[in-house]
Amino acid sequence: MLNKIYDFFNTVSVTLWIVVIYVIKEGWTFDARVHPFIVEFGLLIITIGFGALSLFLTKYLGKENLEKCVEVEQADASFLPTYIGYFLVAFGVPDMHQMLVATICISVFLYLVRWQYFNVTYLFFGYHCYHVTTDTHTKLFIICRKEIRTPENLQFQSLRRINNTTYIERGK
Amino acid sequence: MGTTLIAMVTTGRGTTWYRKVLTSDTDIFRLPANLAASNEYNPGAVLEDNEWFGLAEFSTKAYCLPLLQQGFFSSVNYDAIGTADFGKIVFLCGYQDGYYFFQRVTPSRQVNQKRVFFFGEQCKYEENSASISLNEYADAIYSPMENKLYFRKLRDISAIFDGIDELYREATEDEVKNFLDYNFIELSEGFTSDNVKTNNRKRIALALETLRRFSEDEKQTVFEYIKDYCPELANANSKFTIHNEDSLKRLLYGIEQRYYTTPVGEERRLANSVISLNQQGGQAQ
Repeated sequence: MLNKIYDFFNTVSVTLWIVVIYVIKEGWTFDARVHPFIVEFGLLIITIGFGALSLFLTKYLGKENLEKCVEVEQADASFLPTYIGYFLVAFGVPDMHQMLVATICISVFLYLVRWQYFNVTYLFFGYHCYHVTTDTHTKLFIICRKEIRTPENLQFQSLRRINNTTYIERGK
Repeated sequence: MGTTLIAMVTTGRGTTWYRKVLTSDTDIFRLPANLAASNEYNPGAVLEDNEWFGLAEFSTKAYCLPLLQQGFFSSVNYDAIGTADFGKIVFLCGYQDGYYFFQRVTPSRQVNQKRVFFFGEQCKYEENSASISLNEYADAIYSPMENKLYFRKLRDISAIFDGIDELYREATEDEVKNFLDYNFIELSEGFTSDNVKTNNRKRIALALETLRRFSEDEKQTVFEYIKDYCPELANANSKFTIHNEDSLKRLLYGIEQRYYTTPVGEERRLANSVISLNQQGGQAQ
């Protein structure tokens, strides 16, 4: 149940970027009542806010531990193309209607896939993501604040289970 | 320090896998205080309330779980348990403070039950409550430091450790026939191997093992001893007449030399439980 709520907030926080870029492109001013910078800044805060909220929710997910890893690989960069894709979509759509359709479609797919997915908003909170292979050759996706270079002596004592392949490390 | 609980789940088609149940902040299982004073397993022994059997060198045994052989415990290796898995749990395994606790979960323990929940003054009724109640003490406890498995009832853990019942198994039909064919036994009143029930079959498996260890002289000594304590079993051909389960039981007790006489009062007794004093404290002979 909680995992579903987390997924919802995480998906919203990811796809809001499309809305933010669209609004910036269109230069919304609400009939010149608000300066476009304020609108953009406000939306940016909301987007990061949703990311923070989803991050906060992970506190209540199931606790896990990992004692031994055999392989680890940095994965931050592999998500950049995806986000560039979102930005291109946002710049490319001509009107509000198409933007909404694109956002909803992407949200639904993201929500359904939800498999080893990294929210770039987490980068603002100091999180990085790694592909980790455990001693039983289980492939995991781990989001954590650590900077990891070698799987030797790599242990995670307070992971939270986002889903069976994705985990986030956080304090008690 | 908290407990990480996983469950062995069966699909019903012979395949089983582990599923992660939960990690709690509080300890779920209680570690018995007197594990150090455990006895080496002996089918003839009956334990006192707070006593445990200990099985040494457990990780080298064929029936040890691979989970215990890998030496550490990562909960991320197991998928989360789902509602569909309820009712298919074979046992629960809790990892707590370096010990592994096992509890057998029979199908009858995991049916959806009607329940009344108590929260102080407010109670709540639930039609379909899926829950498993845990015992005060686990059925088995594995200590990786000592490489020892502690348990109380072999029957309870035989579903957890496949093949562990070889420690106290029933004799096969052939073995029972073999035993009853021994030249010191004479069957009467139509008693055959078909009449031998579970308990005696288990005793026969042990007795065959005991007889194998005896030399001819020792066998004769034991037979004389049995005749002394159970004169009604002996017949004119100096064989033992077995005509029902009870007489068979008395003969089997005799082979295990469970009869004794008190030094004072010379009361003749049967030892209901046997713990070898030579093995006490885990020093196997």
